[in-house]
Amino acid sequence: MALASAAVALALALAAPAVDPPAEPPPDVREQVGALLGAIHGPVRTETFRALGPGAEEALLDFAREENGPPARRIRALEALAGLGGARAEAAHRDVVASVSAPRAVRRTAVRGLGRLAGTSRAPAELSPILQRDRDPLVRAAAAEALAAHAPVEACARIRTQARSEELPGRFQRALRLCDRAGRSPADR
Amino acid sequence: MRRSLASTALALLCACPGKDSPPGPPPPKAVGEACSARGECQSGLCFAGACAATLPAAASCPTVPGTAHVLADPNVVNAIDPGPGFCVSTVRSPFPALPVEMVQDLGTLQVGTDATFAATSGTSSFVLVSQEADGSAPDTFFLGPEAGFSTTIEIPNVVVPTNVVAPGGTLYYDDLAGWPTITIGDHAYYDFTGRLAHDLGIQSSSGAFPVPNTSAAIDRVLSNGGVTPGSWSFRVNDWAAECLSFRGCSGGSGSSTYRLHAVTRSGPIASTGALDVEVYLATDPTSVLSTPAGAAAHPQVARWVGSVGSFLGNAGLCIGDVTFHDLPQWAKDRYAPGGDVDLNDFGICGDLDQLFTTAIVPRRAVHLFLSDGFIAPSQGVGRIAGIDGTIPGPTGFPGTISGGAAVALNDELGHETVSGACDGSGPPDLLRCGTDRLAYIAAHEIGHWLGLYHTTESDGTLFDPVSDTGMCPCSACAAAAQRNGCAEVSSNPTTEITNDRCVLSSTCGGGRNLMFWLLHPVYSTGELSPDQGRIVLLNPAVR
Repeated sequence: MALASAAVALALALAAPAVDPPAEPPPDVREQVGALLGAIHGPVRTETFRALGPGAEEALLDFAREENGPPARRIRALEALAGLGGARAEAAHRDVVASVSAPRAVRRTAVRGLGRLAGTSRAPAELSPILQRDRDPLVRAAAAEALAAHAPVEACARIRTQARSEELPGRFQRALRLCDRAGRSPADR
Repeated sequence: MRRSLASTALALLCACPGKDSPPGPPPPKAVGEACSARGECQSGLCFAGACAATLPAAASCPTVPGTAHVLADPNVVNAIDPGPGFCVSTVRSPFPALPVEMVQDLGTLQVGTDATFAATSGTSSFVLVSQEADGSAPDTFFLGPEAGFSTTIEIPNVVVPTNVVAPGGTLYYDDLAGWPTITIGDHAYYDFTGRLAHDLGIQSSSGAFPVPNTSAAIDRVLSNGGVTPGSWSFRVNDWAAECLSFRGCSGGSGSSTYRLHAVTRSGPIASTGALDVEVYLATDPTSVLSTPAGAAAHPQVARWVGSVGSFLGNAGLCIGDVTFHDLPQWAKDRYAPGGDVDLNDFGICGDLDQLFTTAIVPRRAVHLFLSDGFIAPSQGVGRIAGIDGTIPGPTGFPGTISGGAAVALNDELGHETVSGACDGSGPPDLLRCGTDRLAYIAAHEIGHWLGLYHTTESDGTLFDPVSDTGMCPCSACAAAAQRNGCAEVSSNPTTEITNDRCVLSSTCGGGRNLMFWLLHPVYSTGELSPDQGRIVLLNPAVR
């Protein structure tokens, strides 16, 4: 920008009496949500999405399920939904995990989010079938990590068994590390 | 424009000319006339004591964007397996990554020690690189109620030199100095543009401190034709040492030691420069980029490199060699199993920083990791697409803690929302081509490595130290209905500033800039300002 015009603009702004901002239509919630999903480092606070109103959850659900949408945007939408919580967020995660066309990175994010949403009590029931039967070994590894993080007592034996049967058990290393840590006394962790 | 604009505006408001008015400032000088600062020049550029129209192009990059060479390293990176559970924090040598004449080894020094280094005539910039020695520094310290907090909070330690003084006595940086402010509307914001050096405090254990990285310092260095020659001094310092003199601070230490190097870059000060990129693949064997040879031959990688070059070309950079490297299997299994890097532990022993310690290819370059994905922090909502260890990166010290930048592929490479959007080598298409979005994020991370901060941070209250990037304060630029959620007015802020609000006017700018905190497929163009370009081009990584 030209210094002169910028200076004049600021001068006018400083000289003008304080007034309320002019009335303008409220921003489109879907556009706002889409813009926030472009965060390069984050973090975007969960409260930021909540403050946009109920339309924010709707937009996040749309972005998460968008079949040919940018995978990174779908991932971020799922992560935001996992932060917001609720039955609809959980359903969206299940849909993505079950999708045959969703990119692998999106499905892995959905598995991790499902673990977070289901919590200790329901994670084993939600994730054990994925751990044992999903077609993609990296999705199985993500299920192992989510189980080890949220329900280690119930799931770590199953995770170790599954790791032994995997072609590349190194993919389970993070899950096994979490299990080892959970098995130690709190003072040793 | 920031400080210079504000002062100009105030001058317009307050210094109304009249017959009794004192004479105004001398008229701007033409190209070729003597100058001491760019404000004296019609061209806005004072170089080596004379007003200049432009800077010359560098021989390494005669025409932007140049021609990149994509290469594959046939050997696996020879990083030594430290064993499970071991936290690597080795002090790294700058040789042979940097030529001997660029490096002054200042030894291992305790915090509080004063040190000196020499800048010869023709030195265009320098970086002070500090590496923690022998695990001697606390990772964190604590601030409690006596320091004004309602509860005790844990603060990560940060290494940053202080009392940086130029020959002749000009103080360039004091880490304890208050931050200057600028008032916009009813609110005051920190204004770093007039300082001679800037550090935001994000580097633990190992860090790099560059001069110049602010508009004021850029003007001074360019006007003088380089940094002031002679003996510079500074004090070895970290926040844990500063803690000792803070009321309400505990866990500090005055015995931490750091290995210090001064890296000086000799000319040219140019309008262009060449940059090499070392790319480390932290990916799964089934990834689209599983091997260096496969990556180097992948047609979408050619497009990715071209688009990275296109964005960084806005700063005058030519991408030179882009070399793909494979990591040893132990490193992938430990720090990126299944190709995903876990960002839940941001400490120096976390997976990301430990992964960075494997970037040991001894090249004067940016060291960039590509993983298949990131595991976002479970506390809060992460949404991280790319990340840097420090700002700037420790050029010439490959394998240090925090000594890398990382980008998650997220299945974006070659993803098209419209068939053919990623074909060939056309201009970047952020709306329809995932490869180009990945390139944008990589270019953004490289911008951090080369010393650039976000033009505006997410809450719209903190801005970069550059005066010719737009700033976008939340309370002035957010939608009217959302301004009561801005951090300037709310103790529980909920409004974050987005690109669309930062392309509206001269007072709400920066939304198109490569270093804005968001990538927007429509508004982001990857623009970089002249001063951002100068900061980038003076980084020691740039030839």
